[in-house]
Amino acid sequence: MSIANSKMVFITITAGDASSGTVDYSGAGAFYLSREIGAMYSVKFAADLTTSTPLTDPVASTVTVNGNLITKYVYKNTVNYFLRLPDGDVGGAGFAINNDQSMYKLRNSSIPTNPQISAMNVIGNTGGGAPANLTYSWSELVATVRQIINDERVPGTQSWIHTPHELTSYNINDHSDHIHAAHVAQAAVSPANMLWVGYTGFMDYNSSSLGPNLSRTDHENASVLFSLEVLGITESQYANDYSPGAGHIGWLPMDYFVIRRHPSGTAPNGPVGPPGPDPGGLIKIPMIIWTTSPAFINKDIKIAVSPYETGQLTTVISDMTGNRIADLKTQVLNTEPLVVTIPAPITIKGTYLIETILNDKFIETRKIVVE
Amino acid sequence: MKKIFILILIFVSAYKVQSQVHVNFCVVADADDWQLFMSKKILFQLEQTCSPTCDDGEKVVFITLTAGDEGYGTGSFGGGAIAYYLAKERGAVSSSKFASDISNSPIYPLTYAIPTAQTVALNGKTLTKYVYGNANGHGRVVNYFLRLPDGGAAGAGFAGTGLKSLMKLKLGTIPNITSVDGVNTYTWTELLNTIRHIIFAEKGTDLQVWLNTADLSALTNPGDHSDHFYSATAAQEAVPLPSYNWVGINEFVMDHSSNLAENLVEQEISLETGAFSLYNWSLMKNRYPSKLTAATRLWLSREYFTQKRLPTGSAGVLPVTLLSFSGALKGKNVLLEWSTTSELNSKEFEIEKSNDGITYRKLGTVAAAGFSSSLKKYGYLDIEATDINYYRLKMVDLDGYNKQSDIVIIKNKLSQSVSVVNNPFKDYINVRFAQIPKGGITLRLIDLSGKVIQVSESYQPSLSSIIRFDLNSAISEGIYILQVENEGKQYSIKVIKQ
Repeated sequence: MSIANSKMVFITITAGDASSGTVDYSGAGAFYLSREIGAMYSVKFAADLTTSTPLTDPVASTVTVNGNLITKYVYKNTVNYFLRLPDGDVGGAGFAINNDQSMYKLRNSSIPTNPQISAMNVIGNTGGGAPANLTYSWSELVATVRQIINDERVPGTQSWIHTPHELTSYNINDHSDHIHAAHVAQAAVSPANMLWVGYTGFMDYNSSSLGPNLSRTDHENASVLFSLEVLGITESQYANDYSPGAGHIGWLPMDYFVIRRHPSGTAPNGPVGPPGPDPGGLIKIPMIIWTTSPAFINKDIKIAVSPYETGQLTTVISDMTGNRIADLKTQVLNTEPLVVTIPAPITIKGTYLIETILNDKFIETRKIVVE
Repeated sequence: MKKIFILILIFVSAYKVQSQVHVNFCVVADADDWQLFMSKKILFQLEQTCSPTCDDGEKVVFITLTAGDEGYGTGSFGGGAIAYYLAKERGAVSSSKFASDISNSPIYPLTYAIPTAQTVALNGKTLTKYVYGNANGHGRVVNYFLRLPDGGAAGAGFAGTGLKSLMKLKLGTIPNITSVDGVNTYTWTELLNTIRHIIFAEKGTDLQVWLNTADLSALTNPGDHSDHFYSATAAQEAVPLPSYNWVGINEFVMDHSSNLAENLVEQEISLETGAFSLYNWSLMKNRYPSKLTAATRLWLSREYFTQKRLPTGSAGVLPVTLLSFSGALKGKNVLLEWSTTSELNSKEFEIEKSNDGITYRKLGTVAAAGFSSSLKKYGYLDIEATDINYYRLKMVDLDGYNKQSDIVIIKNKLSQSVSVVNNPFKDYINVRFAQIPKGGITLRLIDLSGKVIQVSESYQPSLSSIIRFDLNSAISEGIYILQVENEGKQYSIKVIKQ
């Protein structure tokens, strides 16, 4: 935000209503609305810290994106979009008040054994008296986020998406909604005409178990931003999450993330063409039968895979900070087990991640130790 | 078994002593001082539990002496939406609410509404006050804003507010100082008395309290802002020893702390930054620039204080020193006179009277000085003096505590006589006896033709020397005769109805 001519766009996918739905417990506003106000405060504070004299608080507007009504705030060089999908709870089971909906269920609806929902209802009104009957399928959700990115792009420049890391091997024990927000974001920029957008992967909940890594100023800035979010909540008389007992401020002195994809090319000037078939989200299924164990540096690593369907199998080896070390594509001709061999990919001892991705749809991750 | 019993007794005793301090005061110059220099301590004080019993929960009372207006007074600058000092006050209120919430989580999921300003009268001043929180163990924060002109770092003051400052007031360069909103004017003594009034008004039943102020030592807190220093001077002079030995004092390093090493841990820095952010939000929301700068950031990771004075004594004993109490006849009346050499927290003197030395009744009240360290003289004229008069003073303090004086006896060898207090009269006649009448009393109002207009007869002995004769309001204006019969004697007095 402090970089000249830059813009920061926040896309908040869930209402984060924490089982409250649209109920106004305080009489001063529903919980999810208080969180939106807090987010707006936080962003405004940040914009005012790095730019000129503060202006009056922005007011919400309602915009149509990809046919969906969305609440939007604009302040200086910042934009906030709130999609208000139901809170999916930590494990993705959703809450009864929102009919147990979650992004996890939406994304995994193709798995017969999983709870299935084909669409999620936006909670509350989107402002301007719009009715609360808006729905998203997974592909509509991805397309809407993609449309926001295109609407906000600056032609001729590159963009970054900052989002949680979707892999639980890095982003350990994270909230289901965090993980699936990452899936949405990555799917939104996966088409070939969106490669001008790079993306990072942040470690969320687990970061507090690691040491502080922010400078004093960055730590203070994180404190400022979170305290303003909390102000929005407490103005509507909801509980103060800044309390040490709530545990949230344990995340303030650190930021852990990895760069997942660097941008290439630049945002187009003219209208953005159709992205082609939506790849959808990646579904975790068991595919890896075994891997070379023990593995050694400068030696081949073999992975035995039982494919769910025919198509293209991508095998990736990354270090624990997300840096891609090897990437091998294999055509799968039948669903019989096969062995993929990656020739001497690792030169330094340590712990690495193996990802097997089938048809950009199914994924399994496994950790290996290389000696 | 015996040893165990003794240990338990010691523990309980120690616990009770500790539990008596629930109210903490914080006297600062500017609305953002405590967030930058004292917030770890403030949060600690708010977190303290008040079990086994607690009147109104842990409480911190912030007394902010200056408007911190930088010479703008009630004005704004740079497009500010409200007066600069008001934006700062609201920021302090917001951050103190935040501190209360994070220290003592209110009932989940709700907190309390943002407080609004109240106006309270204390020590003859009209003060702005905000209260957040309530009883039941939740934190409570109270803010008082005295809104004195910003004195600037060196105490020179600002032209916009008449070059006034706390330093000049203390040093006698100016005789008094007026708040930027023009509501109150203080001499130095009045300022001290106002601080004392706030302490007594807010301490509840606590026997001991803590006071947080800037460090007055040039060795440990060198080069401090003038307003910091003189606010702390006022606060500490307001609670002198030995009278205020029940007030403990913590002294904080202020501006100089940025020269010292960081000493807060990550969580404490987060909390201090959070509290300061809420203050800044009010500035920015009202379109003033943030005070979160490279300079102020240096204070967010540091907090140094020393415990200058432990509370030792107990508040609550009536702090009035009565030098004398006497009475003397002044004609038919008795003039009571008394004097005090010092008064702390005194509210009023109740004059009590008895005619038998056993049963006393309240005769009247005289307001007390409240706080005084000099000789104060008081008087009261008893117009109901009788043959034997017993007087005593009941000295009442602001907390409702009271103490009685010795008894003064005035003998008045008057023969019985009767007079009318309110002549001409309207709806009633007050009949005054030189001595409290014994036996029944008959009162008659007679017109000039001899017709009895109204009669009152009572057979109970009176406790007062003045008897009220309520009359029919329809009585015509004119001259009447009041006839009084008591103890076989009859008195007649000409009275006029208006």
